[in-house]
Amino acid sequence: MSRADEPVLRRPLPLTLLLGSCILAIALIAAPEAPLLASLHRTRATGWAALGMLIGALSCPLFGRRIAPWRRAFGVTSAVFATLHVGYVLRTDLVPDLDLLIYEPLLRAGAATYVALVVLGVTSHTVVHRRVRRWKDLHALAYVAGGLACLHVLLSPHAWAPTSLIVAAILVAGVVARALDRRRWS
Amino acid sequence: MLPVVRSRRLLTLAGAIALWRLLDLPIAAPLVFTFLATYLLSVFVLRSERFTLPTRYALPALIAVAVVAIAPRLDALRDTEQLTGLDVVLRDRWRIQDTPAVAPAVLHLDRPSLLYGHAPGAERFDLVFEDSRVAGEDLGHGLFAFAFEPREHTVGEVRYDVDGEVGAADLRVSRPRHEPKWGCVGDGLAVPSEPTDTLFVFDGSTWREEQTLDGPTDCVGLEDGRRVVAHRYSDALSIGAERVRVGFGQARLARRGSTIAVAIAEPPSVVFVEAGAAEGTGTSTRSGTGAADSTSTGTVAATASRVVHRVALDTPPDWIAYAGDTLLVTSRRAHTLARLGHDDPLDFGRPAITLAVAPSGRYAFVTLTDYRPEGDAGPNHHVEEQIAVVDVEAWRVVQRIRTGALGALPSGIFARDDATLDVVFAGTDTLATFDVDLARGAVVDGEADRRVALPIAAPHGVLRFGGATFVSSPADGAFHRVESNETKAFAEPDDVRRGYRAFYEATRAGVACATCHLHAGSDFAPHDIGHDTPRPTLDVRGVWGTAPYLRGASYPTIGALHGFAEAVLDGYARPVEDRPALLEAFLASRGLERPRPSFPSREGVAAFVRADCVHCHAFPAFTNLAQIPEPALFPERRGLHALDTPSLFGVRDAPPYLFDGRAETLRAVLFEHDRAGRHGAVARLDEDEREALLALLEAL
Ligand code: HEM
Ligand code: HEM
Repeated sequence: MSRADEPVLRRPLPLTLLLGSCILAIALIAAPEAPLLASLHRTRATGWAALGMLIGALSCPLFGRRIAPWRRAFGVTSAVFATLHVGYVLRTDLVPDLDLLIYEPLLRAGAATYVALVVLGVTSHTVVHRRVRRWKDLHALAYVAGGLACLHVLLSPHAWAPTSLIVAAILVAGVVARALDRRRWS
Repeated sequence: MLPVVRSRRLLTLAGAIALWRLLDLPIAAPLVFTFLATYLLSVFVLRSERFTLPTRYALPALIAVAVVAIAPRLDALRDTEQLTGLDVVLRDRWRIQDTPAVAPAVLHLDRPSLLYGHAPGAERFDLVFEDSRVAGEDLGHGLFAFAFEPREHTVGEVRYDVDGEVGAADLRVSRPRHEPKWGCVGDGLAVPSEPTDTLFVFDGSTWREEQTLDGPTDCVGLEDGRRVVAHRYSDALSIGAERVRVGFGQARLARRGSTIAVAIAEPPSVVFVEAGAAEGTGTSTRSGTGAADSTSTGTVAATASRVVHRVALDTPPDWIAYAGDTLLVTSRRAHTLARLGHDDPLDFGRPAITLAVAPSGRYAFVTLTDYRPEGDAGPNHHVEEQIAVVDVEAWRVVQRIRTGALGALPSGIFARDDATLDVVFAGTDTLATFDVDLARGAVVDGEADRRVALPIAAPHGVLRFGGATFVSSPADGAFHRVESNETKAFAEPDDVRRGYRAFYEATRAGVACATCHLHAGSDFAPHDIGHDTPRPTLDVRGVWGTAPYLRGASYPTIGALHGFAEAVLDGYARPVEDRPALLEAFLASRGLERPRPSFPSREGVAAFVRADCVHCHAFPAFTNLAQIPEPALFPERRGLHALDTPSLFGVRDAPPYLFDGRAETLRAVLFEHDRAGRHGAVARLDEDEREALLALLEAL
């Protein structure tokens, strides 16, 4: 590995977790008082923490190979915040019935993203890597997760209108950067 | 080294998509599972490292598989994932989120209106026209209100100027079109066109156009040949050249001798005007006191006309007519026909579409979309159009004539005598002439002596003049003289006009949009439209640009509702290209009617913000166009559908409230039907703030 390929940080996970938590904390402080509005706000804030980290993971190729280890860290952090998001939203009346996770397109897209993120998160530990063959193939699931997350946001009625376009653009840029980078990543 | 890993990833993705295609479920989510299945298959079943391709082939392979698998399912996928029309939904949402923003989305040039602008932190917000501007009234919290009077501006593209920053205001401009509806016969035939402030007058040989004050709604002829014209957006009633101040929101007129009754919407009332005697010609200007300020040119009144009496009503009057000495008044909101001064209205459970009284005054004829005196919703999408024949003396319905076989949507009626009626049907473009025979029974099917297919669309009014029958069409801006089969058009067809026709056109089931959304407003009646509870009809004026639509947000675009007409109401017999777009164009041309717009107070806006209303009923459209699951807002209700956050524009005139109409008043919405305290935080407000909040809702 040449010097130019030296990773910015070998174990960035604590940092991504800290980063996400700080952003989330700031968002949560600004929550309105009224109970329904507060739960909507918390739902959106945790959702954004999860999606922000997923975007981080998928856009890493845009910033060159020196931040390669950040991909996994962002991905794991995304799964952590997604768990927070899902755990929280299922306790509110925003998902009044679990059947809606299958029948309601917004929630279905979120649930599918979550399943993908959990699989990715659980299989990203080196211990798992030693046992799971070709785990890198498995991690192409991140693109499926990215697409479904886009759909989830696209269908979110409270989202800022251009959000999903911006998210989709970042994802596509990440994919393209990855495709153009002809060298193999470690 | 070849990027083997990457190509295997691409192949796994391609495999996942191919497997997804085999599942034949047009839903995106299962991709996660087909991906996992493909992965497991490749690792444990195929087990071969040789199942790779160079990336330069794998990538095109992935793209090809994706295109082949997804393209044929795209329409189905769009539907199941609720992506159909999402572009319109997002565009409308963006229009109000992208500050500075202005709402409503359409500027109507035929009437005065109030617009709102949102520019957080701005000190000044102007709307800029060709050579003029309107300064926004700062209501606090970044909300500005604009009083727009079309006569004062030349309107091309509308721009905003916020603290010196100028940009396009993204407002659709709706220009007035001739829309002649109902008129009067006196010294000639006269029919007002409200949007263009025009009176079409036919003297027996030629047509001419006369300009009137703002928003002419109705006319009556006086015995001396003068014509009385009512106006919605002017407080003056024209009697010949004289102007008598009676109030804004004049709807219909009735005359008995020299007494003119004026139905007024705001405040709901009937004003009686005694017409002065006409004498000589010349010009005089006279400034009287009280009601009778008059400026006269032409025929000079020898004595001034004056308001003699004013009777307040509970609900806005719609149609009025004299039957002898008795003034009959219909109310769309209350579904009644009442005798003014008597406390015994006849309740039909559906509004009168129109009203005519036999010249003898003995019978009143009321056209109805249905007869539901119990006030119930009736069967699913049920309509049973009929004419109620009311014996005025006995004050009861003596016969109901079902008109379904004659045409749909009886919008205009003319009583030649006690028995002979001319009725025009806006839903089928037909005119039927028939005799009423009370001996036939209490409920009968109408049988026409004469049934004419009219060459003009969505006819509204029918009048007899000079021995001939004249029919008016607001959709075409035209008149038709039936006996001589002559049509006089004052307008060219365009999308709005074609959409006008489409809105009134009956499906094979005999129901048109306009059957329930009477003249694009509401019939204030509950309907079974296939939900657990009946739903009140929504007013669809001023809703363009607020996608998605309906309380459950089930229609992404207005045009999409056409699909429902096709599926549930048996579709249309007449093929029309792009009916959805025409309906959109028509509804964009319908604005709120606010005869006397007034600014809401800063206190009201402050209370609105303090009670957190603004988070959902967001400035400037008073909606964020988002949906909330019902139990999240009203936990005591366990319905699983999403509630669409409604815009509060015109909310005052749109009772009953909430999706099932359970709140009769605005006060009830906030203080009785919010048990969990989640629908805004009104508990935070003191008494004054609550009143200010209600006043704001009334003003919007
Ligand atoms: C079972 C899984 C999930 C459920 C039930 C769920 C549910 C929700 C709900 C109800 C909202 C509010 C929508 C609105 O009213 O506008 C929301 C918003 C959001 N969710 Fe999820 N979600 C799930 C999974 C996820 C996952 C895995 C992610 C991230 C990768 C995510 C990201 C977001 C984001 C970013 C928003 C906010 C969008 C915005 O309003 O700006 N969600 N979610
Ligand atoms: C005190 C503050 C608020 C005021 C004055 C207010 C006013 C109203 C009014 C008058 C209606 C009835 C409109 C109609 O039926 O046409 C309504 C309905 C509605 N509002 Fe509010 N609102 C407030 C706060 C909120 C908040 C905070 C939310 C969102 C969390 C919200 C969401 C809705 C929804 C979804 C409906 C439709 C309910 C249904 O169709 O059953 N409102 N609001």
